[in-house]
Amino acid sequence: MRQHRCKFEISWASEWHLRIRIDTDNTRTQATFIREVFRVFKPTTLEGLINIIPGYQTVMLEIAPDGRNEADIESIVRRMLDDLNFEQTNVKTRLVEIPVCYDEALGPDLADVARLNQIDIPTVIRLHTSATYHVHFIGFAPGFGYLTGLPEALATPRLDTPRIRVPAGSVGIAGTQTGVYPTQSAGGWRLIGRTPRVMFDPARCHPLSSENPSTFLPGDRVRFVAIDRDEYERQTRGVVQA
Amino acid sequence: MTNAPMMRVIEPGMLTSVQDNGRPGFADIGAVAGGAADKLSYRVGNRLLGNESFAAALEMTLVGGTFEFTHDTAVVVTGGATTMTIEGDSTLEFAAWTPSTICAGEQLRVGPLQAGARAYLCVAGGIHVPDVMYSRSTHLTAGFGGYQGRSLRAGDELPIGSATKEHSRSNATKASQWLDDERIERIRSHCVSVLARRALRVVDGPHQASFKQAYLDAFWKRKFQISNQSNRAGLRLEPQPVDTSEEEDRDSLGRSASAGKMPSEGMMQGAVQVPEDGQPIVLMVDHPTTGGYPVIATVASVDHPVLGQLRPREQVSFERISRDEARQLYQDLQAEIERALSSV
Repeated sequence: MRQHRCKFEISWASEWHLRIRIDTDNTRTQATFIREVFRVFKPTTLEGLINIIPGYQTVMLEIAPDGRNEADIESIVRRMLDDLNFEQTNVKTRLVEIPVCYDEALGPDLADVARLNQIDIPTVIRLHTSATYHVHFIGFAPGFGYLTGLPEALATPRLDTPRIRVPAGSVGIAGTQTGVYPTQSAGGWRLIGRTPRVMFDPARCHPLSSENPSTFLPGDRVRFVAIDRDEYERQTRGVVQA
Repeated sequence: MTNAPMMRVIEPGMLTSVQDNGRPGFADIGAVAGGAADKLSYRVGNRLLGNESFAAALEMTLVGGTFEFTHDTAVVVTGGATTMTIEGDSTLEFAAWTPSTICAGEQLRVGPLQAGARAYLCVAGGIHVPDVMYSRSTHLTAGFGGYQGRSLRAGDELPIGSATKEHSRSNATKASQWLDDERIERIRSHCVSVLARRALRVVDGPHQASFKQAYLDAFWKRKFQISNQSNRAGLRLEPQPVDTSEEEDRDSLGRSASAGKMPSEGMMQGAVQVPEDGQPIVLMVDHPTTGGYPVIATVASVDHPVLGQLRPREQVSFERISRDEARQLYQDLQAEIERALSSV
């Protein structure tokens, strides 16, 4: 049986960057596309490949041409795209559980998210912890996962004025997105809690390590698990000691 | 007391950090390659000292800094135009791009930059901060790499490499044993002319077709001023009026620039993003790996070192070239620099 063919747009974004866009609005297909590109495109399978920079429905391949012309590279890439497997029948994905303390001291916008959605705070927590999310891709900042799957009842617009300082581990909502700030930064997401988990740790990257610096990886399933303030403090101390 | 050679920060300047060639290959986990903003000056500095090309160096921004060394060593400052003095028993002045020896206990003072935005201080053997994700460069926004993941402060002590016999002073102040003035001048003048370019060469960006013709026309003929809101993540550009009537000019800017926001996608250094307000942002070495604004053009890699040297209020324009030209120009530049350095 011939598998469903996807349409790809291929164009050059710079003299070293080939941009591939999958022509679909289906987020699951987009996510499969990103994950499959990472599976199929490696420096060993595409000569000169330096970097793959993902987005929602695009990847940017950074390629040193090494004497090949653009048409050569494009035809190699098109052939490789045929190898992407969109029939995801028995794909094993990791389930990553993120402990979150939904406390107004750590999630200062919890009450606003409840009020703007006309629900109470326990309902916000119940909805946020009952969904299973998918890591569409990692981008923007080190370890920042773009998650899909936020319950519609929790969708909340960004803050009008972004905060100058959002602590690392803050869990927030922006429109139909939810996510975790891996490092302290400025940001306009509505903060509903905080995790003691370290979302990005460069020390986890060394030749003898099978761990990844990023806690989230593309394709992961994610559940948020509510913890109380004591448990949060206990796990945070554990992080500091480690 | 330790015997390992160190450099001590006396005056850190405005924004000084440890940088090297960056850490390419981690975009899948959201980490940008980063590294020196002007990799030409950085690399040439190391070569002038006989270091490995990608030894870690200090990147100073707009104003210099003052540093002291525990051991005799050799240093060179490349990049933007500045003055250097070594203060010890006597005061010595020397020129940028000229390697010099410095004795234990002496202070090196790098003055404010008269031209360019960044200067690189390379030391013999490089700066020996730990490797983090295969690089010594500082990721300032994520707070890792370099020296404790941050910009330098007074009192910081950084381990450095050992100087070789070639670097010892032996009465000469300049490291003339391995470089003659003529060769240094050839390399310096070549780099300075490369970095002086203000007509940035660009290739067509991935979303150029989504821009209104009026904006595109203005984009090619306009001059843009570098905003003081610029940093290692991006250069913000303020469009400068052209010699047409004011009204017509306003029409070619602003809200009507492009289709507006789009789903986040992968970005690269040199991408010229245009938000709704029509004021372009050129992505620099520490740019977020994704962006949500259309990219009208991409600065060719041959001019990436220039991006690292643009000062607030300087003016730039854009010059359209083909991708084949861009690749050729990049390769030509590498070959020219290698030729100039091969005599070193």
